[in-house]
Amino acid sequence: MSEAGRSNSNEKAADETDLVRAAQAGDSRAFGEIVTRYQRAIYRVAYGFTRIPADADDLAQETFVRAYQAIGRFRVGEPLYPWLARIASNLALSLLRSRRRKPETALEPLMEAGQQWGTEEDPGRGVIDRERKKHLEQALAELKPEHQAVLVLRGVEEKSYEEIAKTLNVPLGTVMSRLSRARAELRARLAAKTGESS
Amino acid sequence: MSHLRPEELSATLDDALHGEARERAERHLAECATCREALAALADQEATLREVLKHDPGEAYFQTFAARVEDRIRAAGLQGAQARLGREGMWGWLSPRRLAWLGAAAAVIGGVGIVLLTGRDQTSMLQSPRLVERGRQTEPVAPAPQTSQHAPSFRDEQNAEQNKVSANLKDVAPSANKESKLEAQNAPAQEGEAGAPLQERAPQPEPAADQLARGDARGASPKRAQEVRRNAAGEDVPVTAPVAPFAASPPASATSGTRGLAAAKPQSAAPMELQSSAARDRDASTRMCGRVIDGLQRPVAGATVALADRGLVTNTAADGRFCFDAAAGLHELSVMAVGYEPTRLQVRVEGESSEALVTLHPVSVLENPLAKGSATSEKLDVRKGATYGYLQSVSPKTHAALEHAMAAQRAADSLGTAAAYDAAAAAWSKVAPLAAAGVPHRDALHAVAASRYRAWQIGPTSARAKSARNAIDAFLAAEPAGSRKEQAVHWSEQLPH
Repeated sequence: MSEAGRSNSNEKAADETDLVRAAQAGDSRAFGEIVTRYQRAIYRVAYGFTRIPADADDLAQETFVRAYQAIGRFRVGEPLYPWLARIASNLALSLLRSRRRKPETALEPLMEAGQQWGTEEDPGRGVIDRERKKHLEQALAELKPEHQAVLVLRGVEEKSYEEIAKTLNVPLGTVMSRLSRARAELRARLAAKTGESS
Repeated sequence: MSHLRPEELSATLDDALHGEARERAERHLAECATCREALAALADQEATLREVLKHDPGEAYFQTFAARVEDRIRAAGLQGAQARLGREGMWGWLSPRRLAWLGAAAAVIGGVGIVLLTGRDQTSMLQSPRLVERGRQTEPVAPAPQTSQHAPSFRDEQNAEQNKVSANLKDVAPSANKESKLEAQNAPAQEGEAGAPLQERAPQPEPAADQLARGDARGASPKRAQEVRRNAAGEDVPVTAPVAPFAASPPASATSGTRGLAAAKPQSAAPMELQSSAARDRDASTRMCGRVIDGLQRPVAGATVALADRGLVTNTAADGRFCFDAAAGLHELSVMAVGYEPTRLQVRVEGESSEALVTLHPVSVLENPLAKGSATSEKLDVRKGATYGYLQSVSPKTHAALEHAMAAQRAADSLGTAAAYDAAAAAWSKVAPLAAAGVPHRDALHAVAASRYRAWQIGPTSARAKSARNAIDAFLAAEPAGSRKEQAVHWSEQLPH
């Protein structure tokens, strides 16, 4: 990392530490700043897990509510993002597990209606791509919650294996093997849906 | 020769192998076509997955987010107090600001009711029993203490800014007030069972975008901006409604005080947004600044930004920022950067300062070899898959190899990892011997060289440098003089000797 980059990142960390301290002392504006800073990242995680905008909204908000309740126990000096992502992931995993117990009818994502392909693109390709995405999404929803979790954290935020391990509270080796198994299973399920050979 | 284990392939895709394990994997991939294909397939799947996982609810959604979290926290902490409030007292805590916001939110609810109800049906699983219960309890009741005893709020800093435009809100406040009351009284009956707090219902991503796209008549601000984007045919397509409110308050802005305009999430257009601080003086020269970012929100440094009608040109700084002094009015901003599609947008500048956020989309390295370098205009535009004349004229085997290479290339451009470019280069090297002599062959060689070079740039190992050198040499030997050749010579010079 360059000198400037390092000092920038140090400043950011110091700034974040101040914010956490202030929030712990009851300064709700400081907590508001934390929300504003991480809302996009947490929404991305929430959407990755739920793939339904309304659920993602609910999950992202609830993540910050839980964070607010627990901010007093947060260890000052630690980075906030993994902690917030862990709260979001735990909430999402509970949701996914409950859904697996009581399977729901798969629903078309609300956004799909709005996903019109550009007219400049070949319509045939558009249909194929859209079909593939739909099948992939269905295949993803069929995976174990733990497998979905690693795919989401890696795919949405491009988190390193170390960060994923920290977020999910599992050993590094587990992240590597889970990702591999999750990808293999996703591929197999996708192949079964599309008739491709895996 | 034992193939790479799935775990090694998966980790290679993520650039997560280190040291000896990494070297072994790279050596093996250089020799094993089966593993290269497996890696390319994995990269393709990962790229599609990332598209499935991605969703941008728009700037308006995030402008209200902190406020909604605050409401939710407050609601959670005031269950005891609510029980003591009568129905008359329910809305007493609402500030004009909040009323305006609720009014604005209520205004869009009619139009998107079906979407909201569908969405809510699906979300009931998410709500924990506690959450459902809390929703029931808090919905019709507001935290009354707010008005008398002012506690610090997330939004306090924004209040001052909001007050500046309170005059603008006067016109809408009464009706907003009325609408919000209606909405509020209906809410418990409609939503009580679902347990959705009112504040969760309004600012759904779609309605927010929809509302902005319609540029509806909330009238909170008179400022206007227009955003257009040039499509592949060179036509300007409005990203939002032709003239959308520039600094109009989205549902968010009445609470947040940050006024902005977000694009209505176009699928084939660059998401763009414009923001402006309060515009008070239309005649003054305005400092117009902005930031150029890529699809991953990373700043694009060194992009050329031109305000065409003023003849002003500047480059973005390391953080992607640029600034111009421009008179109020409509201007055309054009942004170009190596490796990205040129992007144009029209901005209407008003007020003291304006800020534009421009997102650039990467150009596939294939666009050069197969679109620009082609001998006829019927050549395949690989990036868009627009014309299939090229594909239909080749053998099924070549067709398959080309399709495979295109998929690998799309995956590489999307993932941006060295391993994905390795896979793309490998896929293109299969196309090269199949492609007809002349332009198609040279195009394929160029694609191999470009991907090999990119892979080396991202993950500079000695093996990648060697592969890049070989690929560039092969291309240089075949390519006649021209800009593409000059570029390849430049690549070659960058590689270690």
